[in-house]
Amino acid sequence: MAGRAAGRAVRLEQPSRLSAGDVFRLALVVVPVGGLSIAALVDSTTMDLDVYRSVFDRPGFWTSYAFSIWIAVASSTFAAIGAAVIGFRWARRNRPTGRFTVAVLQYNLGIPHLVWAVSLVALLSPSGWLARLAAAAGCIDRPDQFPVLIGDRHGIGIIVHLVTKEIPFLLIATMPLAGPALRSSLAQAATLGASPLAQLRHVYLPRVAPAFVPALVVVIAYALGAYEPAAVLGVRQPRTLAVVAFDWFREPDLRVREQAFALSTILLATIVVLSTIVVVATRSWWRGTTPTRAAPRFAAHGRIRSAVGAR
Amino acid sequence: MSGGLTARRTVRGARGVALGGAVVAPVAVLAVGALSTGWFFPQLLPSTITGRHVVDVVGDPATRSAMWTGLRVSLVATAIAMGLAWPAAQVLARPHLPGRAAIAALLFLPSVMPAVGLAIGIDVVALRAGSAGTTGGVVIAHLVPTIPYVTAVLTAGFVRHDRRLEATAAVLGASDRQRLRLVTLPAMRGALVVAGALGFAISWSQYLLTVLVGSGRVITITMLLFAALSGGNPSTIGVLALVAAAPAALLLVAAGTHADRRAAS
Repeated sequence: MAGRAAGRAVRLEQPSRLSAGDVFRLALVVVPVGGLSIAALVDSTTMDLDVYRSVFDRPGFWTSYAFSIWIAVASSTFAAIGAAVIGFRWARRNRPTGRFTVAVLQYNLGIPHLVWAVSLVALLSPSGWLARLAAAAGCIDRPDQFPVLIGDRHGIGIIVHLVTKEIPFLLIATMPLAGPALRSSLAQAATLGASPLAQLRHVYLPRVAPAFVPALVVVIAYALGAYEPAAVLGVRQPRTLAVVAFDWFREPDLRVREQAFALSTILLATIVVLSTIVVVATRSWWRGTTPTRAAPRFAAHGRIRSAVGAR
Repeated sequence: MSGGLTARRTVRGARGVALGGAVVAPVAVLAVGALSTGWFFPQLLPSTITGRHVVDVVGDPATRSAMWTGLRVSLVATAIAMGLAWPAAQVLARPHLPGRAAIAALLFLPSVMPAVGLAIGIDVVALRAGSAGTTGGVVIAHLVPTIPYVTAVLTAGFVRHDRRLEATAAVLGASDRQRLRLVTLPAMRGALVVAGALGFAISWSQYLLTVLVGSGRVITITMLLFAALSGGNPSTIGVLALVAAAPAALLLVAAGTHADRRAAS
């Protein structure tokens, strides 16, 4: 009886070495994702330096490149500051984040980028709903008196899109680390006289950094390579490099397609550079994650040392 | 004292409304636009409300076909992603795993690549493999952004899961299948629901991959919406945008509340 039903024994101890079966099971996800991504990377990379030279020489390239970097840096900075401040305020509260709040964040995450961009047009364009609200309040009489937020030369519409989409993403990514333990550390820091800014800088950010910094790298990568927001909310000139790459790739001329490959390599290299800057700039937060190594630094800051030791 | 509490609650409620409003308002404007006709500046609200555009757009065979294509692609991609991620997540949930950083780096490689570059590259691979322009090719392409997040959610589920429950069931004589059906699956239900909803939402939202790998032969709602943007009727755009947003957004919220309820009970 027992022999029939028992099946294989359940091994409770978690082996620290990988069996052949484990490697196979990991390969099920690693091969399609990593394999296809690397194949995509290899197939769309051009080593021909002449192609890059021809890209650099094309009129408008440098303007587009600067425009892309401006949008990525501005939107990621605003999103990071927004998410850090909101997340910190939530972490300080004496109760878990409300169900309603989480539902709102999830709903925002679920809306496709294209739809969000279209709804921002309906809200922010010169004849959009905000302009009508301004007209109803007597601030403007005609649509052209409303500030140009969509299709403007500074990419304000694109930046608004990215910031409003990425703050919820960063908040959801950091939420698992903002539990009761963090709240009591923040409370201790406050008791010891740490200002809110010091709590944010020396307690909150170091503790959420393991989730926050990787998520921020994803945000930067998305901001540089995104197509839908830039195509819907952007202006004809300058276009972001991502939009230019998409258009060039769809041209029948093979040399132009080759130039699109070069653009995606340039974007990838830029992501690597910007991400490295972010990781290096936030390394003091990372260092703060281990209490022993953080202690001397906090001693210098004095009053909140014990809040960090109490993990 | 109670007055102070009420005031604080009011402030908190107002803040909640503001947050909800900021996130919901843009789509709400679209929804009102979808239900109106001839809604021009400076009218704050449309003078006539009509369901005509909704009926027209949703009744259009092109919309229906795009809807079904999208549903088919996203459901199949999600199912495959979950099937592949389930066994892998069990291994990834172990506390000591050699090479974890390398595995994570490979899994999140597509997330840190420029979206346009990734889509272009995958299209080139698909063209070479002969899968471009087919529904299957689009499904395979959608696996690349979908699998990492589904794997992450399932791994988190297995980390929280107490494996002693299975051991107990085994001691009590449960077979492999009985343990899976009666212990593991019910315990992992929350993670499965969230992973499924997230996987579906990611696949459903893909525009670049679908356009490029689909080669214009696999048409989804987001593509109809993009086409309507240049010179389309605002009400039509509103309806298409709502149709494109509804499934993924509703599913994610439902999955989130489901997981919450289970956590609370």
